[in-house]
Amino acid sequence: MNDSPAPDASVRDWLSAHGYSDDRFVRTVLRARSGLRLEPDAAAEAVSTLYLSFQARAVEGKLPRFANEDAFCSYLFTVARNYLVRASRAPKGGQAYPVDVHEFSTADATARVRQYDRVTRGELVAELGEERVRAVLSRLPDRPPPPLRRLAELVFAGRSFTEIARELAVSKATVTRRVRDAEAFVHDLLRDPSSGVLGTDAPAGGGES
Amino acid sequence: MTGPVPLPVDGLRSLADRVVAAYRAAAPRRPVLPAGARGEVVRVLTRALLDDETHDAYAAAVTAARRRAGVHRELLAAGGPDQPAELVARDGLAALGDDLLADLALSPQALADLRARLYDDPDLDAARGRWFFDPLPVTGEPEAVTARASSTGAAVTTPTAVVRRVRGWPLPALAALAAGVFLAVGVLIGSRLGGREADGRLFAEARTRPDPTRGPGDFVIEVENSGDRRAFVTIVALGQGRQPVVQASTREGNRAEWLAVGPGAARRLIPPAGGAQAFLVVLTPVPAADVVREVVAAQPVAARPDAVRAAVVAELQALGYPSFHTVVVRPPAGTP
Repeated sequence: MNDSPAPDASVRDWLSAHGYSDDRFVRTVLRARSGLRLEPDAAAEAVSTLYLSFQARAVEGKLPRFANEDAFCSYLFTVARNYLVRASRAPKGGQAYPVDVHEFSTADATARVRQYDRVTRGELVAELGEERVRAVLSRLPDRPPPPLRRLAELVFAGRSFTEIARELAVSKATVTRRVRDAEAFVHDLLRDPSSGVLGTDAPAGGGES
Repeated sequence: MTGPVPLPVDGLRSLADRVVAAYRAAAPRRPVLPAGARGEVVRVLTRALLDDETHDAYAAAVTAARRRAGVHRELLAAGGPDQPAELVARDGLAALGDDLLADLALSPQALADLRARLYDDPDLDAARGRWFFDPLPVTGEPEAVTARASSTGAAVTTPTAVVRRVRGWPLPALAALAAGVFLAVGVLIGSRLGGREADGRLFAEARTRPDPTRGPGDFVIEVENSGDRRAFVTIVALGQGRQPVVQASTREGNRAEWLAVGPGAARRLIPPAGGAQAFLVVLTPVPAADVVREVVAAQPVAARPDAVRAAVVAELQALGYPSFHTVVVRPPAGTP
């Protein structure tokens, strides 16, 4: 992070007015990178891009002001997170992705949640293949709360988490967690030769040990 | 580019094994915290929420322990409670009850789901508390500020801004400086600010007051909460050469309730043990009895009240308690 550019005076004053140092700004961007599995350079690139965007806004006199440090902290994190999520979705060597310093809990935040839905379903299919996943659906437990088999069927039918929550009369939080449980169950069946889902030539034995 | 100091993998595996063993030993089987491990669980899981490496290592350790114990699919089928993401975003994992914390410790899926919501749920964008943005210990930087003897594992966060300014100092000097800073800050807060913590959300104070209605020479501990949120009270009775007594709840019939003082209210509490020479009063926005008990149990019986207090402060800070106040009060003059 030592090679990251320092902000100009206007941005530094803006950060400072909200209780922020350069170090703290960088730390916030690093935290926003968590869980995105980005290249190490992505955070340094995000710092540079955000500085430049803020400088451009400062020239226009459009840098937002916040009533307190906590609100500012949340704002910076959200802007950085939105940018990094976009970076994680962009193809390597593709177009640069813009920073919108005003996108705080608005359209892009909704996109983040949609993206999470897609990644969950997409990752599973990409890793295991849809046909094999369907083959193991019948092995998923079929008892509440809510049954993993029914949940997985709905996911693979392309339903959104919100729709599934409504249909099963549970919270969306329950759905997102149970989808993870279902994924893990499928993975466990696939790594277990005795589960029978790998085909008849699978060696006998195995299971939980 | 520096990176966070990783938590020792052996420690993560040990915790994972104990969490799974506690689940298997419970009758009926359910997620429970291993005895005396609440502080360790909060520390490790907080770090797992903030740091990819710790998250992945702990998730792998728990999954392996569940498989070894033959309960992996059983737990996946069983599911678990909804985790209150907004509460965690605001106040950190220390705000969770034991049952929710045990569920998180036992389920990598619940942990990953909570993590995803903390980072990407737009409803939480304005809710994340300062704990979420605290710096992690960074490679190449000493952890002297939180370096302390602990039976429960490594520290989570450390004020690296302070550490950075004195980078390169010898470790003993840093440790001494850190201890001094803790004590000085504690004294300053206790004497000047009357219970106002850095984030200004908990305004509470405690003092002893004679109570002749209970008997000659008797007294009560009066807790006054002028803030806008409830303050939970944990009292530690300290006496030279005596085992400290920790009180954090009252019992009425079969019902136990946390000692707490509502916003804008005051409450008089009967001291937990006769003959104590001093009382450490710990005021927190969420119950802290387990944490205080763990810290007090690790102190020498003859430890001075200020030393016990410094240890409690360090632990609450390390666990990410959002705001708290500690004060040592003594029986009024003339008390036998």
